[in-house]
Amino acid sequence: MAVLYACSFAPLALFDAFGLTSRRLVPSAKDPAVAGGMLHDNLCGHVKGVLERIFSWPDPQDLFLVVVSCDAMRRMADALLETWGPARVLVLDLPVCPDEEGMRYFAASLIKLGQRLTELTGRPLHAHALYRSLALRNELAEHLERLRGQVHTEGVRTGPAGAMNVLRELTDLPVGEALERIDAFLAPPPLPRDPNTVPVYLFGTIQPDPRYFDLVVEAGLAVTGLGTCDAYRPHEVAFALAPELSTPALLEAYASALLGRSPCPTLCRCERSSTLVAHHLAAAHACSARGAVLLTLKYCDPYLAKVPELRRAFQEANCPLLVLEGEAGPNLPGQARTRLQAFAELLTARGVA
Amino acid sequence: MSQVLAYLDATIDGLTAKLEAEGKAPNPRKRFALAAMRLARRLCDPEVVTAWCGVATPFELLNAMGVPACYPEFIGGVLASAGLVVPTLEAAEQCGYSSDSCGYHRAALGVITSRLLPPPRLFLATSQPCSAGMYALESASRILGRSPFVLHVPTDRSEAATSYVTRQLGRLVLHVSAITGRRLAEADLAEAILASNRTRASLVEVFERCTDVPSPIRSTELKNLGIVLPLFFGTAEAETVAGAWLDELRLRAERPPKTGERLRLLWLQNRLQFKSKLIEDLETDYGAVIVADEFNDITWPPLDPENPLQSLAERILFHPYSGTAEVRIAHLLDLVRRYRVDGVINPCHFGCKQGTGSRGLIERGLRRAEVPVLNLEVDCIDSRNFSEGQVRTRLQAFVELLLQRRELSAEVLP
Repeated sequence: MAVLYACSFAPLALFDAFGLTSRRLVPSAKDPAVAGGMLHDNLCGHVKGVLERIFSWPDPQDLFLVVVSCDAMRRMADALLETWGPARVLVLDLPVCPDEEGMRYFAASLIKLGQRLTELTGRPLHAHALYRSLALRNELAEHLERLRGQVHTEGVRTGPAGAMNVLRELTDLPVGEALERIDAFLAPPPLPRDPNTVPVYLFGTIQPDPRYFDLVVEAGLAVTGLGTCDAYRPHEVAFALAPELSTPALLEAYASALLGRSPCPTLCRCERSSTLVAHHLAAAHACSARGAVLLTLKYCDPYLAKVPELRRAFQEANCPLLVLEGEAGPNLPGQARTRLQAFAELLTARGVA
Repeated sequence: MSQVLAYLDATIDGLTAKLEAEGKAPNPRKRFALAAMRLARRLCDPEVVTAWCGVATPFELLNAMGVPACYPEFIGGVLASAGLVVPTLEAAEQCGYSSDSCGYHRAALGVITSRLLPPPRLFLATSQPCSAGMYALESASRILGRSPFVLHVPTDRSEAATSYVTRQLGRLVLHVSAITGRRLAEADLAEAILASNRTRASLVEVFERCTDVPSPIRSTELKNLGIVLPLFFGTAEAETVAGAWLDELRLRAERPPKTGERLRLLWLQNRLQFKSKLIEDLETDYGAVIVADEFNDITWPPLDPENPLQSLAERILFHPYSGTAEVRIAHLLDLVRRYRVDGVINPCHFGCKQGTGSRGLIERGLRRAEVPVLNLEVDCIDSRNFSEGQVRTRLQAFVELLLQRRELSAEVLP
C-alpha cells in the first residue's frame, strides 16, 4: 500500500513512520479533457493533470492524500471522493495562515491523520518510529541545502541528470534511498557555470510539462536558483528534535516545521511567515540572478492573484521578471520559446550595458 | 466615483419616494433594494470605517460593532446592476489581474486600483466559499499596505474544527477592535444574535411559503435575497426586509396572484447581475418560473445567545458551500424535492471554482436523481462576453425539453 499525494505540505515523515511508501503524483499533460469532463476545463493544469493520472491508477490498494490548500485542490478531493470513495481518500486541511492557531489546528489534524492510518494499516504509530523518520527527513533537508549550493554554482542541468529531475525522484523514494540518491548526485564537484549563460531565478507552480525547463536552458539562461512548488519545499525544513518527545509533541513540532516551509501562494501573510514576494526577491538575490522567470499555470488562482504584486516588487528591485502562463497539454506553446529567447537577449544586453 | 454616487443617490431617493407614496404596503423588494443601496452609499462615505469581507463572515459581529461591511460579490453586483462595472474590470486587468479570474473579485480589485471608492479600513478574508476571494482580498489589502485578517474555514466538520473556527472568530473581534478602537459590547452582541434569529425565523416561513405550487413569487422577486441579506444580519434592517416579505406572502396567500406557471426551476449560485430580460421572458413566454435559488434557504439552527461565537462558527462550517461537493449536491436535491422543481440552471460563473469547478460533479449528482440540468457558461457581472442570443436559445431549448418531459410523464401517469 502506498500513499499518493500532490502537494508539498504532505507529511511524508508520518507515512514513513507507518512503513508506507509515499509517491508524489507528477501531473500528466496528455489529455486534460479527462479531468475537465469530471469537473471543468477551467481548472488549473496541476489538478487536471493529477486527476488524469489517478483515474488510470493501477493499484486499487493505494491511498491518496489531498491537502486542501486552494479551491482547485478541494475540487480534486471532491472528484476523488466520488470515484475512489472515502475509504481510500485522506483529506488534510492546510491552514491558510501559518500562525500559532493554524499550527495547533494542523498538529491536531496530523494526529487525526495518524489515527486514520492506524485504522487503515492496522499498525500503531510509535513515537520512536516517528522520531526516526523525522530525523531522516531532517537529514534529507540538510542535504538539500548542499544541492541548493550546487545549483547556485553551476546552474540547473536539464535532462535525466538534472537537479530538477533528481528533486522529483526524491519524492518517489523511501527516505533512506532518497538520501543515497542525493549523496550520489552531490558526489562529483560542481562544474563551473558556462560564462555565456545568464543566471536567472526560476519560480512558480509545479510544471506538468518538464520541457519548460529545457526551453529556459535552450534560451541561454542558467537557472541558478529554483523556487517552484515542487523543488525544495517538499523536503524542507530541518528542525530541532528530542528523542524523549511523545507522539503528539513530535507531531506538533512537525506541523510547525511544515508550515514554516518557504511561502506557498496558497498561504496568506501573517506575522509568522515572510511574504511570498519578499521570499522570492530574496531568493533571486541570493542566487545572483540577473532576472527571474515566473512559471504559472492558467487558472491557478493563488499565483495569478499575486502576479501584479510580484511584477511591481521585481521592477522596484530592478530585477527583470518574465511571467509565463502555461497550460497542461501535449503541445508546448511556441510563444513561450520566443518570449524566453527575447528575455535572454534583454538580460544579455543589460549585462553588456 | 461621481457616477456611482449619482446612481446610488438617485436610486435611494426614488425608492424612498415610492415607499412613502405607497404607505403601509409591505413592498419587500423595494425595501430590500433600499437597504442594499443605503449600505452601498455608506461604503462610499470616506468618513465611515468600513470592512470588505469574505462571504462566510458572520456579519452579526460587525453590525454589533457598528462597522458597515460587504464582500466583493456585493460590490461587483451593485456596479454591474448600475452598468458601471466594466471600467473596474478593465482597471484590474490593466494592473495584471488575470481575465480568467472571477469577475466579482476582479471588479473589487479594480475599485481599489482605480480608487473608485474610499478604501475600507478592514479586510476580513475567509477561505470559504472560495479561496480565490481570500486571495483577492489579501491582494487588495496589500495594495493599500494593510494587514488582512484571514478566517480559515476547514472542510472538516469535527468538534475540533468548530473550536478552531470559534477561536478565530474571537481573534477576528479583537482585530476589528484593534483597528477601529471599538469594543464588542456583550449586550450589543446579544441583541444582534436575537435580531438575527428573528430574521431567520421570518425567512424560514418566507422560504416555506415559496415552496407552494404554483409559486407565490415571480422569477426575479427573490433575486439576491439569500446572499445579500446576511450583510444585514443582526440589524433592524434585516428584520424589516424579512418581515416585509413575510407580510407580502401572507397577503398573497389570501389573494393568490394569477400565474401562468408551467415549469418550476431552481437557479444555482448567483443570478446575472447586469440588466437582462432573459429570465422575465422565460416566464412570460413559457411559464417557466424560477421558484428557488440555491442561496435562498436557511441551513442553520437558531443561534445560541449563550454561545454566540460557537453557533456562528457552526453556521459557517455547516453551510453547504463549506463542505464537500457531496454535501452541496445533497442540499440541492433537498431543494429540488421541497420546491418540486422540474429542472436546474447552473450559470457556471466564469472563473469560479465553486460554480464552474463543481460543474461536472453537480451535473452527475443531479442526473443520478433524474433532475435535468442546464449548464450555462456565463460571467454573472461581466456583460462584455455575454452573448444574449446564444444564452436565450439554450434556455429556450432547455425549457422546451422540460415541457415535453412533463407532457410525456402526464401521459404515462394515470
